[in-house]
Amino acid sequence: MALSKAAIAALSVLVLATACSGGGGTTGDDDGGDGDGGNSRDAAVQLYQPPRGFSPLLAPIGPDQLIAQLHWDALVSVTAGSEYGPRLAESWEVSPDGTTWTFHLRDDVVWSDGEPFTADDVVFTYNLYANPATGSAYAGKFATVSGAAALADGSADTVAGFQAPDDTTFVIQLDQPNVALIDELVQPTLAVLPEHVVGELPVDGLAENPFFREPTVGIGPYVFQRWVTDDQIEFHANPEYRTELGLDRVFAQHLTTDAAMAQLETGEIDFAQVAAPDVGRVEGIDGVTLHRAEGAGVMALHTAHDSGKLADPRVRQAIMYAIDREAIVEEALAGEAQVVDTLAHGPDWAVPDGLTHYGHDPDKARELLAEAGWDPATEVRIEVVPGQRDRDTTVTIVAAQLQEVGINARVQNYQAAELSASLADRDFDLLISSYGLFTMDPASMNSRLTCATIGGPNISGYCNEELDRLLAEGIATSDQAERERIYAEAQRIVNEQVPIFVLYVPNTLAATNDRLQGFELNPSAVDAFWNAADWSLGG
Amino acid sequence: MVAYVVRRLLVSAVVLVGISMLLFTLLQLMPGDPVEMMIDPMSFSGDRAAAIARRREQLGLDASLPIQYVRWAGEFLQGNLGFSYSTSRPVAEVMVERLGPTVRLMGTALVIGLLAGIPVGILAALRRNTLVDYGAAALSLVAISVPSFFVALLGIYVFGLKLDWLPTGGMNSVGGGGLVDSLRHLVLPAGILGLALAGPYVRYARAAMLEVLGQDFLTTARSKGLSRRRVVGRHALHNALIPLVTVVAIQIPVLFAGAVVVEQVFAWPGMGRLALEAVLARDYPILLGFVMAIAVLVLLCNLLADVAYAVIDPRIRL
Amino acid sequence: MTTLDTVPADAGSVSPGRLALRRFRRHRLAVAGAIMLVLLTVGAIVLPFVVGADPNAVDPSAIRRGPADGHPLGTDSAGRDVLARLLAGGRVSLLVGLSAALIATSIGLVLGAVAGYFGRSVDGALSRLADVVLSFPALIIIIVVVAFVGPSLPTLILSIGLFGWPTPYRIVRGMTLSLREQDSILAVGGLGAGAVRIIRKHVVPVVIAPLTVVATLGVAQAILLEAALSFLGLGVPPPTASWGNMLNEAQSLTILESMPWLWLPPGIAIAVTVMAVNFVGDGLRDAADPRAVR
Repeated sequence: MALSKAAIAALSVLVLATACSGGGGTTGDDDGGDGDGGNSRDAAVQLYQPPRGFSPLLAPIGPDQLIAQLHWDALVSVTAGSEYGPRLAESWEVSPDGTTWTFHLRDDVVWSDGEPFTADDVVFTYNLYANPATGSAYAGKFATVSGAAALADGSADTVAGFQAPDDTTFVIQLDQPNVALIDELVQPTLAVLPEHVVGELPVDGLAENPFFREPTVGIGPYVFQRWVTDDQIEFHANPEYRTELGLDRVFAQHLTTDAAMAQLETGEIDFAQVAAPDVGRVEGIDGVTLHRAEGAGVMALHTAHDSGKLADPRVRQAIMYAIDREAIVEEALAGEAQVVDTLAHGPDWAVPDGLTHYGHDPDKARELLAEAGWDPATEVRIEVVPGQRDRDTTVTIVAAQLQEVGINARVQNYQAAELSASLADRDFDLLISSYGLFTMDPASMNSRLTCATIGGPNISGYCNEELDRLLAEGIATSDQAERERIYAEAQRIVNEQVPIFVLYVPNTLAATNDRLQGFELNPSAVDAFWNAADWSLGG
Repeated sequence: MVAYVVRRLLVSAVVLVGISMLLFTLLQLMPGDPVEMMIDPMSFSGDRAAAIARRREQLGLDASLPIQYVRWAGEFLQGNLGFSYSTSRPVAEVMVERLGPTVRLMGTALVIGLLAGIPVGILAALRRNTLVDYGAAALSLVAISVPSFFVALLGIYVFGLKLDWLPTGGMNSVGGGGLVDSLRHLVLPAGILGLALAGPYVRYARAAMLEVLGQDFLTTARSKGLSRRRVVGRHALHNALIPLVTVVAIQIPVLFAGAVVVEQVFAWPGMGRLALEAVLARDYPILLGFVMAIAVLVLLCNLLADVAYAVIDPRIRL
Repeated sequence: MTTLDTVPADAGSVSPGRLALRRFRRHRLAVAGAIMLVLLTVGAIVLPFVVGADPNAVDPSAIRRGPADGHPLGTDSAGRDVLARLLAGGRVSLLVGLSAALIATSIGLVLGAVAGYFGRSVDGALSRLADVVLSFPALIIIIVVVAFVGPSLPTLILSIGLFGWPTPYRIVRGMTLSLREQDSILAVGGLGAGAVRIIRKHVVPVVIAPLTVVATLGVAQAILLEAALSFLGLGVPPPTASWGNMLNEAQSLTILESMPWLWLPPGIAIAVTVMAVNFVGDGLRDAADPRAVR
């Protein structure tokens, strides 16, 4: 009797255990036997965060931008040489007065379901971008397009300024001149959607439509096939793609940098982003190539200017002098960054000579603080969302160096979710964040520094009338020499006033397995898959 | 018996309602607004306040807390756990996807823990106060004392990096891979979690065995001339398993805690990492669903343990 | 049915020699643990003055340097002295461990005494609650709590303490229950003495020994929990050093592979400390009640 009871007991344990492990056993090994052995035309790439899906209307996160480059396509994008490059648009021009942009589209493009791609798709998509009702994150970008206001207030159904005179021409008509509008179209790269499919969906809240989790139609080289797990996606070569493709399938998988480094070494993945401290290690791996490009975005500290805590420009300059940026770059980032003294650090013509260089000079910092009558008791928080190692290190060092010159600095850790709220309330002293694409046109600083974008991308709430005037003039002027003069003046203001504390420009780093060929590193890290159509396997 | 189970189930239901209300209130009071986070000011251009209001309404977050709770509870009863704030996917679907990997990891670890822990514990009890016993006690203390994440790091260092025998993370190679590939990925995380479990299991098994060995009926059995082997094998062992089952069953939810850490270190796509990600992203629906799932599991395991105990051992009156 | 098998198997008849052997070995481990603990405590408190390095002083010109003169255990990613941080982390670990265990034991003592004293439905409800809390994965709930109030040292201590009470609770409850059965207590109760007085006068002295054992093991538990939480980045917030958050960095394979001085010392420190505490707890258990089995 005891035996059978105990047997039941033992059995129940085993049943629990095996039922469980049995249940799990089926999820991973899907259509088995398709590993590296049989099919050699598969590539696997890393996503450094879990992807959400394929909705181009949502505020972008890196992994979504990456997978969008496989599945969707755009009019233009950034090239490896930091230029505006043709994609669905072969060429474009802007009228001399800067109010009419004309894009000439390719005539050989077909959606993955065989439907032809035309300028109507572009007009349709740009109307979605400009329409706040869709949940679009970009309505503000197109506020100056003719008729955008009418759409927003409901007096029109479409934006009059988006036009398709014929199947291969797309025109944007602006109310106010903007010779740098194209810069808005590449950061982020704005995908084009198929009207014949997405047109069937309700416009209200379209950004969140489940269609974008599992889109049935694409236009990029590798179109969505399925979610293998909720952080791994399988893409198949688009049979309708305009060029011959070198791969059959691409797997995009979320892996932390640490996990990715290991899998790179074992050859499990073909592409991964690389953190500066790992460069030496990656360079030492056989069969793996490290790609390096001067970055386009900045790592910077931001203060809420309206709080008045760091209102005196001398205090802000003192902070710049107090921080040994060269040492941080050299030691904490293994030299994989550039120290710059202004926000829009490119292209060359836009950065004037003679900007003040904020080298490490604690004495000067103390002097400036004394002049400004700085109260050493004033607490200055340095806000950071911990978790990214080089950033955490930077913050630790910055705090110590500010203390050294008599600023009562303290690191304040935030959860990512708290950050947005404190950004909205503009309750921060020195918030560290990295972002941007500041190398193509100096107009890229507009959204970060003009009074009109306070509450949006101008997170510091910086407002300087003189700078505003110059920046407005800069996008209304098409004469190159004139623009150069305008921006030289604007850059001096940014350099002297330090509205944003630019610490450094991290290099864009990536590694590929040597069997993946055709990979070309884009200086914009979120555009790493921009030339996926050229990828192939060899070696 | 039936009445007892029904009563316990009712009590469990009340406890669940209480837990869910508490959690619901707590989660809503958490600092950091998920909608603020979804509409990131760094990359959002346009009327952000209006967009936030629109999204809030879409998610039903504009209603008062009690109404939100009633809505949520109504949906919950219909098996709908809501939608993830960060991916807009049904929570139930996401959790089921993550459950597989976690169960695979925990199930294997549990089997390893039991296979390694129980025989050692029984042996220690039978060889009480010998070197075997002391060795087992010391080893189990070590297993309890050394944090699993440190063992995991050591494991990755030795077997992943230095010897290059095993993968350092993930559940399988990108793009699939066969059974062997899956097993290779399972060895380190499940082995480490399993050995951590074996520590307490040795102690439980030893204690349960000693308890039984000290009982009268064994003495009686032995005095009746039954061999030691027979006494130990047939009577003691089987009776010792009863309390062991209860302890192990009740502890199943606790396994999730170990899984969180191990899943994090090994980049295992399971529930633990899901919960961790949900906390950081303020994904309330996921977090609620996860904690409710654990609560259900806790209550169920408690109930099952009691019932199993009663069924196996009729001396216990319910 | 062989009669050859005559080795006594039950625990009742241990030869005096074996008993001595057991005591010796048991005590040796416990004594070793105690010595280790004293060393660790003294080290964590006194050594910082000897070493002299500030655990939070950064040196951007000497980041991730291996052990060398001036930095016996090298420097971390911000150029901070690893030895200084290790010692500072030890203080944090001991602080968290001791205070969390104290909180847990106090709650357990009060609730256990209440349950045992009043019995019936109070006992039923509290015991059921203890069962539930005991089978909840504390780490996960604490992660949620920490996310709720934000990570800080007091939050950490309090939430770990709040989850540790069921074990001391059970002991105190059991002992109080059996005390209640005794006439003397009932008599006192009849004389109108308050519950608090009875608990203080009669319960506390009896449970103090087993409670010490449980509290000691609770210290080990709390240290482990703190380490795990800090390792996940949800525990002791930087720049305060803790063994757990020092290990957090080792998730990078580069550091794991080529900079062992950054992660081996804190890892070993946690393991040794927790082991020492557990050995002491085990020894105490034997001392308190030689027959006790767990």
